[in-house]
Amino acid sequence: MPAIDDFLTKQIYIDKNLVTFRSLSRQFGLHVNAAKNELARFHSSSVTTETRSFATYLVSGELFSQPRTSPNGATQSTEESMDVDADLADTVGEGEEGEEEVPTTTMTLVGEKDLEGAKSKYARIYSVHVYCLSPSPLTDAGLICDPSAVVYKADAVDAPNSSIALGRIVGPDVRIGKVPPPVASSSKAPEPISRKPTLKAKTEDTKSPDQDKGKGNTIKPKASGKLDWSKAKKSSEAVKKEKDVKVKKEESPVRLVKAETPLKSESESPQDGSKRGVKRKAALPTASDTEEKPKVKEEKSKVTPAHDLKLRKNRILSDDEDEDYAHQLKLKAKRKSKVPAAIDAFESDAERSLRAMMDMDDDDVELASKSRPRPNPKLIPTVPSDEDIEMAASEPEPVPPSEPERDDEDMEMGLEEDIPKPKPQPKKKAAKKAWPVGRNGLKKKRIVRSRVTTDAKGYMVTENYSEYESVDEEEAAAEEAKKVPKGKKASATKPKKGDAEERASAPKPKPVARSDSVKKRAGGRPSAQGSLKDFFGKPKS
Amino acid sequence: MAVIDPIPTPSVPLTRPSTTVVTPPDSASFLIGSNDKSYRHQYSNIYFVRLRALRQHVEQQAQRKWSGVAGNPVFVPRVLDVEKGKLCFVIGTVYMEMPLKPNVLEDIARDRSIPAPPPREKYYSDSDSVTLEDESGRICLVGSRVTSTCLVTGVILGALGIETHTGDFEVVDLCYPGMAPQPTAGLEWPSWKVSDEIMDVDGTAPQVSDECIALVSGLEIGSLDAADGQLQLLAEYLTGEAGGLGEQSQSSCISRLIIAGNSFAPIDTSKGESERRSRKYGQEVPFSPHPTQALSAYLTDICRSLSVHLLPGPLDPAATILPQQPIPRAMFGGPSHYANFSSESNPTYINVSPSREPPSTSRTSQPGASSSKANGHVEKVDAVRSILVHSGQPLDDMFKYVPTPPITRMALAEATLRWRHIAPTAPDTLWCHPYFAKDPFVIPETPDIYVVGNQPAFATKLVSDDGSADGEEGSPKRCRIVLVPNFRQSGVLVLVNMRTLDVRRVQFAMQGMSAGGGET
Repeated sequence: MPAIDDFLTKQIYIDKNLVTFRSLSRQFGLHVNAAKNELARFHSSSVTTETRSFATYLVSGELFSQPRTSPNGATQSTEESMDVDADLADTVGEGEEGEEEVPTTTMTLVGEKDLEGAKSKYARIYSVHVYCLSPSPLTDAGLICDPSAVVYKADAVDAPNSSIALGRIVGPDVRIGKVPPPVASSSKAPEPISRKPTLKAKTEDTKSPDQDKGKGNTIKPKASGKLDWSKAKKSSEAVKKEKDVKVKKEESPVRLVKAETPLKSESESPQDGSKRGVKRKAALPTASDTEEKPKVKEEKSKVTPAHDLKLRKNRILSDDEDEDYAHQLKLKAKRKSKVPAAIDAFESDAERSLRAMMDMDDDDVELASKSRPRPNPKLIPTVPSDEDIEMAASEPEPVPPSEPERDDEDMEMGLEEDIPKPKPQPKKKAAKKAWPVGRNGLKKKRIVRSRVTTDAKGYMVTENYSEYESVDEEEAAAEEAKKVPKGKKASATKPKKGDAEERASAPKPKPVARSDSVKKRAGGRPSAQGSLKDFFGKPKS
Repeated sequence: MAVIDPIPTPSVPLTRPSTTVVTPPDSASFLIGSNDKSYRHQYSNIYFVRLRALRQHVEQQAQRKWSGVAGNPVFVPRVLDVEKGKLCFVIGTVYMEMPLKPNVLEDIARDRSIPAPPPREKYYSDSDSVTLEDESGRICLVGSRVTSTCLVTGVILGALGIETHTGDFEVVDLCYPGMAPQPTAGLEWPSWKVSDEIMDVDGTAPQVSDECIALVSGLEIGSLDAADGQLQLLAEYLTGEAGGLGEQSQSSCISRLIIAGNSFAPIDTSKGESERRSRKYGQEVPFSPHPTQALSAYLTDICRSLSVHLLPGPLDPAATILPQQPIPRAMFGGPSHYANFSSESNPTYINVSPSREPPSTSRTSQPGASSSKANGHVEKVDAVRSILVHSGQPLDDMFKYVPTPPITRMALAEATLRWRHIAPTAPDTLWCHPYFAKDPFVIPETPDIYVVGNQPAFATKLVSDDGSADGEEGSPKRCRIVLVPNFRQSGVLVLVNMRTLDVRRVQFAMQGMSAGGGET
């Protein structure tokens, strides 16, 4: 094959590189055994020419058993042949009474000039092949590692199948994904290849996770506190999975099946309910004053929020790459064909649970959440992400069974396009976002912070960014107290202040949008507090 | 010019057997649970729990063993209640009084101006004395039976003898808990490839056709004289690419690789000081992630082919105290994405059962397919092989207690099975987590394969107990003990046949070139 000859000539004589059978096989898509033969052919043909390559051989087989005289002392013969590799281990490792002699396969990497000597030590030779070709005789065995970078890269890019064609032996349990949890009941998906609880009936294993999940769903509305947690966890997992999928995509596109489970879609769906009025009541006290970065928001809005069951079908629609979408479709089809029963079971379970959720009374929800002790939000570390909060909040909210679609769409729009659904106010500014609400049910305030990073060139870059911080209860109470006498909006004000509060980093957020500032002043606000703008605005009014 | 035969390319890609990891029972877990995560507790609890867990087994053994002894020995439940001049037996925990053993009080009283002596190779000396203690107190064991026996602190045993006039207990015989029951012993592991055409083609192939697991320890990636060449050969062997068809089919029998510790080389701390510059301008990073990346790339290569279990070892970046908890997966970039890569705690039980599946070429293209297929073969999953692995610290520590010429590491490893305790020296000289309510190092069930990593030399032994000696758990027991040598120095990979428990070594070596490690 001239192409291979050209490649080898270039690599060895011009670039002075070392070519192993592995790198050659990856370069040309040859089977590794064919690559070994090609190396041998090239070597034998090039030996006669002016420039020659040096071959390194891999000899495998069984060595002659070493004579042993005393258990702990090496014999004379081994002393002499100390350069033979296996001897040391042989004499040291064995010879203690009661321990067994075990057959040993020895694989020796040897340069071509030592090949015959090495062969003579073997009692039985299984195989000899050219391991690599190099422009000069190998002096350091570490050099054979260099071409492996090529191999790693090729294997990473290639679909796993092709490396099988090249001779890699791949176990059936090799796959990309998370290590399945050891207990089946907590596992996310039927994954029989890995950890199972015990030897109990395996047929049930495919189903049982789903069923368990389904059960979990049905219970959910009752014990809202607990299940909110589980939900929240799932959601973060789902996010992680998303990332995983991306990473996997880079590595091997065919393989990214695993992490996708129906569950993901389900766990994503409730995150869009952040603007509900109910939420405030149901908001869990269990969490924290987390900051929410606007970044998180964007990421979220990318995901199409939809109905629980709907979502599964257009799950990654929002992903940027078409290829990815197509891939998802493929995957979906595959999965469907594979485990239709499981999906059916899941679907029905999910439906059942959803119905149960919808049938729930509002009162129940309130009771459940109210009965929980309220920890001081200050004391709790800021571990859970804001998504968790929102999901936890939106969890128990009763969805009218007849129109879940519309509901979700509304929410989606509320999220992305900022249509002021609850109380349309004519004077409001256009740019408005869903205002995040803290765990204690009070809306967060937005503060501007700066962070210092070092960029690629090593310069420090200071960057301002805004984030939300939940308001302490006392502060909020004070704020309420301030508000009420003013006769402005009641405490149930919808979150819609927009950028008016952007400046209000002090613990005195203005309760109303800036556009009403005139009215506000009329309401008895001390004029000394007026900003420069107010000063200019005065004559106008 | 050497003429070598061309190597034929197999027409059908070789396949591997698939195994399923079965979760060991909770009692056999070395993960520190949330309710154990406290360092408040006194270590005395461990001794108490251990004695309570093993005392009954010793008592049963002792009753059986000594019931017919002339003199009609009686069991004295408390060590201090022993009567002078009367043949009896007591049960308690061994405590070795050793002058050379490190002592906290001496350490505190030490003169700080003098550099501390280097840690000793051995604690053993001629002036050691053996005592037996229980809740009530301690009694000194004397007699040739005691001095000739391999004993370490923390072993639970029964001693038959007579109290002498000096207050010592003259021992006639000793009794251990014996090997724990082994429910998995009778289960037959099905053979995987009975006869393979590929192997007939290459007549010289080693006839390994049963499923194997591969054991290795001490890769020590990142050391200055790392055995890079051998490591490369190891990876190529495991992935089934090196060698001829014989080696490749041998490699195809390997379903899992267990790395028993010391995957990283020790960090050379001597040259770190000059790097302590301010990182204000962010350029100089004194820590190099290089070994991690190298290991990660290396493991990724292997993970593409077979399942890998990685245990932390004494040199790895993990806590020192046992049980060492799993190294975080996130530390390994590439392999952490593979479901077949698992990071284990340091002593760990890995229970493996075969999952039957007709070797098909399509299984890897459809990852879901293999699972569903494996699911179909429910009734065939009958055998379980439990593998107990640790990275060698318990054995290394026990080894300091005993005189070396008579007692080998293998003898100690075997003794731990009869003591039913992996790490008897654990709270004393081997650092361990202050467990309160359990002693995880007690062996509840004898494993089929007992792997000790990072040993200076390879050794293996099949320990068996036919069960006739102890009537309680009548079934025969056997355990394959494997001491896995450090790979960097030895270049040895150990294969254990899961059906027959036979062992095979694969040695990777260099000749005529410098190779790092112990080989040249």
